[in-house]
Amino acid sequence: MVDAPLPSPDPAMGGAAASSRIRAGARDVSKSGRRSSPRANATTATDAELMAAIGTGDLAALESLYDRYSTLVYSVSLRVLRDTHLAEDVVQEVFLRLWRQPSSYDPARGRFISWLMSVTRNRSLDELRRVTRRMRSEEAEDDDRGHEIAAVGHLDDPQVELTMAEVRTAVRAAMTRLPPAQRQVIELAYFEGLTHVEIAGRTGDPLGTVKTRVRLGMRKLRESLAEFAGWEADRGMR
Amino acid sequence: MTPEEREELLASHALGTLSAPDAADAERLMRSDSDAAAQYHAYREIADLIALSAPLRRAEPALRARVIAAARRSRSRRPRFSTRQLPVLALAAALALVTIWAATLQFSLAQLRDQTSSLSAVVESDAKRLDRLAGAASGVQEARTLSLQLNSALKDEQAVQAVQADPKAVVTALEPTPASHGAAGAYMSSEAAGASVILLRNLPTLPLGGAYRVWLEDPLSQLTLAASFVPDSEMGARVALQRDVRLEAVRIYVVATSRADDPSATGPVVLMATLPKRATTP
Repeated sequence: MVDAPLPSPDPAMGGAAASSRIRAGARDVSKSGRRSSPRANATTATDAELMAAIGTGDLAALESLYDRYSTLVYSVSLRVLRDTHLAEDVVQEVFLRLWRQPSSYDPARGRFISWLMSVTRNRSLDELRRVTRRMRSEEAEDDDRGHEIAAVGHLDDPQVELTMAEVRTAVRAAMTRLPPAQRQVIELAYFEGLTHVEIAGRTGDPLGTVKTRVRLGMRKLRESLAEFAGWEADRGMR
Repeated sequence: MTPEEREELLASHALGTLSAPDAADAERLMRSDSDAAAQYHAYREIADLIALSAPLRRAEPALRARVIAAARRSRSRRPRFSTRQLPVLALAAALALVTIWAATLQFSLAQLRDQTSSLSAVVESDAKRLDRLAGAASGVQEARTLSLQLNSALKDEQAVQAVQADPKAVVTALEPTPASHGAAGAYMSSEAAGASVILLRNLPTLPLGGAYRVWLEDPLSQLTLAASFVPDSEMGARVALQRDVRLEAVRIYVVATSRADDPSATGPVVLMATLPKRATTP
């Protein structure tokens, strides 16, 4: 994996504009006699605008992004780590990274949600490697502490939920439709960060079989999810 | 390469399951074939979606307060300026930084030379003592091994020092990959010193028994192992590349492997760079 180095654009460009737009919105609302709430006004801003506002030190923008995506970030981290405390640590680190290094996201290079999921996955895998000996013992695999938390059916932010519910359902259905062996290799690769060789070592299957399963599984996912490629842009995702 | 092999390579690369040599193959294929690059990006979009298959679970509400409080605390340490002041302040800050950096660099280099000289003297003395010990008690294989290791470490340290002290050393920044997780580094090559080194920091933690390997790729796409190392306690490293690797390297890869004792073990590429034409290993 040698692509997509993180860019470092100038966060000041556009950040001040977005921040002032959020604050201007707050002023407009207060003029109308309603209670002023930066968070309420921040709901109309795009993810990229909120990131730019964070670059100017706008804490309300961080709160808005947290409300939009913390459940997703936590869910992915918990899926990787299977430990609620470690997953919470990752959530905190990911959002503090947004806060401290907003320039690490460049809207020109891709969708915010993809970047956020990538950061979350990478940070979770780092943590997983750090605690490999403690976490990856047979006991830890059997005692999947993530399952102690009740699943939730939707995201907190209604607008984000509206946009993402369909794609999330489609992705889960596509994964479920895969033959179990193909789903297993893809999940081991994505959620545990294993290479072909490591997957073969884990499952006991020949290396060639693992490679074939990855190819066939990815091809089926591509066919199933073709309509969702570029889903954010097509569906007005922020 | 059959269409199936090509698809296998690109889909696996998008998913991040390739070993370093295979990832290098995939990168080469994409550079030379725009259809392959498009196919890779299509698979990358699918890989991006896989995160959404994780069952939704909500963190405890108190976490939000902790995150925001931590951000607020760190904000108090962030300087705040009006945008009107920014260009002047930025220029002043840049000038100050450059001045401080230059002074610090000089000081650090001098300090580094002193420290390294002291360290070299100690290591050299220990190595000689061990040589004497080994000679006195023939058959003490352990002492000989330790002596060899110390001499090797001494040579590496001298190479690092020589390259860092050469103002004409060619420096190439290593580029992060999705597996770098915040790691950064640089490749430095000095013709005067006849050596090249890589300086690394914030490397991802390795599993127990793992190691990092440095691979150099020649113009014929042949990969040669140039070094193997374990990072220090702060996940940094200064690594001298082996002197017997006399090849014209066009690319360098820093690869995490899960087994230090297995030379054939491979893993994800953490950092990489395309080297300038004149930057050759000594």
